[in-house]
Amino acid sequence: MVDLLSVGEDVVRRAASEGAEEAEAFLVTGRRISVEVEKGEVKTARSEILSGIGVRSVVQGKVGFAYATSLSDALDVAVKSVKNALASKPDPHFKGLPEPGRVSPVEGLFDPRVADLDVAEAVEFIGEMVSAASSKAGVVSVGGAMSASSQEVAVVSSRGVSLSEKRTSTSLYAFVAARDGDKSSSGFEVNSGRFLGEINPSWVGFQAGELASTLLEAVRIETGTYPMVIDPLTMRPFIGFLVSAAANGENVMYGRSFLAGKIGQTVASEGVTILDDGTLAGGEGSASFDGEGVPTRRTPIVERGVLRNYIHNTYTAGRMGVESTGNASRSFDSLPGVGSRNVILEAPDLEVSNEDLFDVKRGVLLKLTEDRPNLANGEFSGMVYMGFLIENGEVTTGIREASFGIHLVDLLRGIDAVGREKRAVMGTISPPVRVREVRVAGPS
Amino acid sequence: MRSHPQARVMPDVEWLVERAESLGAEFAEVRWQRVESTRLVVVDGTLRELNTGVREGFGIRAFVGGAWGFSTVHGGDESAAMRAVEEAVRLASAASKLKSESFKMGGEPSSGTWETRARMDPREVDISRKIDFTMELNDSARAVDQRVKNVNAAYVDTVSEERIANTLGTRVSQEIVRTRAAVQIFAHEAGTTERAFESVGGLGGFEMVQTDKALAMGEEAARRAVDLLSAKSAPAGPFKAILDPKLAGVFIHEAFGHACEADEVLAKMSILEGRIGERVGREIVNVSDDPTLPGLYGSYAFDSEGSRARKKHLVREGVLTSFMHNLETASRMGTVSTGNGRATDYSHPPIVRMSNTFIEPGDWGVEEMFAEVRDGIYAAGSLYGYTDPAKGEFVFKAEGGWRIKNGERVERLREVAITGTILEILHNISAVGRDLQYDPGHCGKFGQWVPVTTGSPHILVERVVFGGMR
Repeated sequence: MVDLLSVGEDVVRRAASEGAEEAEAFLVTGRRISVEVEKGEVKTARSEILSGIGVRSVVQGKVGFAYATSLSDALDVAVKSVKNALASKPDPHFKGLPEPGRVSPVEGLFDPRVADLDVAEAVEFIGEMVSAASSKAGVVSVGGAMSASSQEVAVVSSRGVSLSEKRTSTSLYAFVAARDGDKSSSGFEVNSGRFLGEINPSWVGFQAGELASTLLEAVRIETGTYPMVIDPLTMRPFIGFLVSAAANGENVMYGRSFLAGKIGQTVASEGVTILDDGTLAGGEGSASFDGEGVPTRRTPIVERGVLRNYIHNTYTAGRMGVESTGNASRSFDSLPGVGSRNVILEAPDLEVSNEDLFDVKRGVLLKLTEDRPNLANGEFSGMVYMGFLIENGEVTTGIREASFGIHLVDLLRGIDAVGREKRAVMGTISPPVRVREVRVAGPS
Repeated sequence: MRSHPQARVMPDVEWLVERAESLGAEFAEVRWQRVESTRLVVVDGTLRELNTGVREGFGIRAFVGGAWGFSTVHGGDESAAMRAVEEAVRLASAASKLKSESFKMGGEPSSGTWETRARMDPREVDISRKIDFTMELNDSARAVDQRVKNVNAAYVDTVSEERIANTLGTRVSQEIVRTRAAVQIFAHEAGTTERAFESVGGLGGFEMVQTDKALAMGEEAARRAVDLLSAKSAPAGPFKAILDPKLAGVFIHEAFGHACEADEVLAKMSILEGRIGERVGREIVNVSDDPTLPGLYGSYAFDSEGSRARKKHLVREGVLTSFMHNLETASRMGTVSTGNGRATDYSHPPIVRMSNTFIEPGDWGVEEMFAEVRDGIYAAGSLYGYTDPAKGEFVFKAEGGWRIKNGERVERLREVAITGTILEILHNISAVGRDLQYDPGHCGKFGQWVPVTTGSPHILVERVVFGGMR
């Protein structure tokens, strides 16, 4: 095993000897396996050795960056990053690399079963998913993949940061196609997390198959205004986008985001609180420290409807005169960005039973959209990729060829009820939420 | 071959192929690749990122009993690559356990050496010149109007050296150079923020960003962002529409191109399965995928499997004529690869991908199209799009547009989603313009991003659904 901290220290020393006033190494090693399915059968098994190093050097207020996939090139990368710093131009807003912070380890980031998962075991998981999906009427094709990765990341800097952590993550998704004569439909479901125990292959297969099968019966709906229930499966473009993009310190400081300058304003229904939490034990987005070695934390973004905070890395925090929130997102091949960790929606006062949640005369249940809002103005127009009609309190039939349009703030302000059961899906943790009025366009 | 200061000996991939075969692989492919890149980002006059890097490694595929094993190692070490060969064969055998049917991987061997003819090789252009270009791009946009609030200019060049060998006897070496620049503008006035995006780029060196279009694009995007400040939300529902070349290009890529990818067809995930020879649109509609066009961003001489690139007519006079193939889909469907097997880099297996995909020009003038629209929408610029080829529905996002009344643009409109179905939309195209234009971009599929070009003239669509807010 490579000792990442000692490679990192060598690199930082090398950069200093080349003339860097400050230097930081970000290193990653690990492995990833995956199994991909086509038409219900395993098509490809993959394994990858993960490795990479990125070095940030500072010379006279100028920042340079270099990377390589081979750790054996680590010292060359250090030299190149200093060379790049020398060739660069001063950045008046760069206030230096972060000082070491007090890092308390977050529990539940590593599962040895994920780290050691063999392809043959993944093939078995996939088999269970496929047979559950195939049991549904009309299903003609089951696609999907399972992956498991384990990584060790390290951050070492001339300021005295010297941290490393092992993390695992795993996911299994199913994408299912169904047909019946001229009718065709698709269904999707996913499980993901840091532990193998979070993957339930037959549930994923069953849900995706059921979704495709029921969506075979789908009607076109007339253009109009409908109450909409948003499933936790598709919260990413809503609350995920709100935190990772709209409340992203970089987008805010440059005035790209519709949330810029809105601290203290009401952006959601009074009962709604939205947080970013990097410290959640076992959380898919959790980590003890961020991509610059700053300790992660729990940051309220929207508190009882009011916008309270943005998320930051050291650069954006320095420029806006606040503290980093430990949200430096990182890959070895680029400078730190800003990214969300676990985005959580809480609305205890608005919780109702599922029966009450769906108690509308005529509404839409949005299961999935892959669209996202406009960062600049907050408007969100997108396709109802998978969705249902709600009639008199019952989910009755699928809908097709429908799209929706609403401002993200109007949507959050319009939340009048949420379900009781929260679900974690790819970085968001939320119950289903109901929005009073959304413009939905049908083909007529 | 020209020689560069960086020129090096490429690792030998042939013996690794032989090794895979001796371990029991029915088909095996070894790809070695080294990608050097430079990336610059200037935001509001400040150089935020000067980033250079190298990715190097082997991607190895083995085929056993109907299933694939794929393994990746980083670096240029042949002994590590040998272990990856063994791993790939082991993975394929494990995967084949759940496989009920197999097929024989066939195809003709391909051989050759190719090098991008870059007039200004990015390795020989001084970094200060690239910095100056990116700073000037940024400045040109900022100078347009006080309402321009945030300007982001980026420059990226990549030089990829690649060696590909497989058990069919393919032996290909190539060097691909791509250069691209992009600008994204945010304009602000009285509580309203809007954005606009422009990019240029292609197969070639620094000369790709020295064109008139490249030098003017900062100003162009800035003007559009400012212009959008006075725009209204788009209406919702079906409308007659004119799509500009940028949007129509993304539209044909999303709405039709993906459904023509043979892996989707074989996976029973394409609505176009079994429809070759069928009418899918009006006679005026011709759609092609052509990686051989010189200098375009999605061009290449050999694909990632070493197959020679060639032009395909996907739709000819409204009739579906061809799917796009890699070696696997061609073997399974009894045809030959169309040279569409592409991978992001050595850490991904080649899958069926588009290259430069476009609607061939027709004979309409843009003004003639406007005269046909009494009440409709002119939708322009593209943000992104995606498709569900199984269900046959697609969506793509226009940067903005105009409401058209009696052939005149009467109201500026904001970003809007446009949706439709694959089997209907080409029948609704009632006019195709003469003004074919190309735009560079990146297309994502199964977690792999590859450079592509979308292209089209202006087109007139009788009926398309807008997901507006009113």
